[in-house]
Amino acid sequence: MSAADGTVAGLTTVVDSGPSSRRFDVVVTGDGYTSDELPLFAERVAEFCERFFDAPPFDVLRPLVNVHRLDVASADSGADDPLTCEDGSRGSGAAPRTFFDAGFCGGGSRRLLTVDTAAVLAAAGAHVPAYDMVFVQVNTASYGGSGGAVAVFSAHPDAAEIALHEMGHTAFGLADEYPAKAGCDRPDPGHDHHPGPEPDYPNVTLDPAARKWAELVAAGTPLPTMTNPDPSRCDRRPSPAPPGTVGAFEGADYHRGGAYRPEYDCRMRTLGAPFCAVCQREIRRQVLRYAT
Amino acid sequence: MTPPASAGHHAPGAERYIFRYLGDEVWLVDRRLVHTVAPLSAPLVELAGRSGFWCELRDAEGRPVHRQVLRDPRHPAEEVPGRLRQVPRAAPAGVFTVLVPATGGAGELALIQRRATDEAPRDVFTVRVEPPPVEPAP
Repeated sequence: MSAADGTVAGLTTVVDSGPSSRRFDVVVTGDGYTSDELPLFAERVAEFCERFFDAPPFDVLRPLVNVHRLDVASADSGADDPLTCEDGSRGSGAAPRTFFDAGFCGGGSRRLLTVDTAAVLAAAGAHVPAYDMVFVQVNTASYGGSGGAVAVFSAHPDAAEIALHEMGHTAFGLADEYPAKAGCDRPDPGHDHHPGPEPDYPNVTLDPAARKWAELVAAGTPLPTMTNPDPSRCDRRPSPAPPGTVGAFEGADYHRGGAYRPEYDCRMRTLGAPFCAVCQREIRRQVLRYAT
Repeated sequence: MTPPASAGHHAPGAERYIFRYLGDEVWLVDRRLVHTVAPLSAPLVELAGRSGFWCELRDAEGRPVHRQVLRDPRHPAEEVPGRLRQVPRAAPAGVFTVLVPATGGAGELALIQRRATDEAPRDVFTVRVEPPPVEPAP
């Protein structure tokens, strides 16, 4: 990033629920938008807000959430798209000058869209010191995003899901609930059985009796609710229980066996699924600190 | 230390620590007071039987007074979107922040980790937390 690559153009609180010191403060900034394209950024932030507040539990937590749009005008439009990537994909070779240096292939995968995190946090902290979560929406239609200290997502219609999943990690300390580190379609040695000890995250457990979230398990629900008969591979069978059932489903925390998740599916397992009841409980617990 | 980020009539409720990391190495680059409510503490139970990554505030006697469960903020792997999976980062380096309650007294802030292969939780990084300077009476 350099001053020649762009500038912070202004801050607008697009959802103003109260004083920043008493609210969960979300900052959405952008990269790869020229000054002429900032109205487009504003439209996309409005769309993201709809998506955000449609996602339970944020639908009911809205009175405790502020959303700040941090407009950043870049010298050029778009994101770096290297000609070659370690995953074998080919890009356009575009290398626009943008304020946060957004680019694909951040970790050798075309879909990994990363930014200069230090620059993003500095800009967010300078304008919204009490920020709780920072998102960067990058002006490119190609699917991509990434997590870490900030959540990055492109303008592809499905990419906002990446941002919501990454917020689960960054703002609420939620673990991944998927069962394979390298993916179910790739070799994934060493992840047949969770070695322990108990992961100290709210939404995964090694306990088949699921005592970590026992209050949410309905009477009569079998525990464990679903076990993987062959932990050398991902269990792709359908759920034996109705959607929304809280129990103990084997396969979580990057291990196909020995670790359990609360529901068959969750946003921390599959992009596009809603947060499960246990993840929602943790999100509510943290955001409701602003209600006291 | 950076002056308070926002002046006000009430004492700041939280302190943001900003770290840089290179691989497993972590160092503190800034601290700033913030007028907000810090994340709630996790239960202050023994960590002996658990794995994970934590940020912990300790009092002057070394007793934990606040603890947050974090995903390893040194971000050793990137999460590839779509069908979610992890790819190791070739050279993990970057910045992360933690927000903790502002303390009125001496103590320390620790980043703690226990991987599955570790025998016990260990401090990855500690920094002494000094009480705020006392302003002279007018």
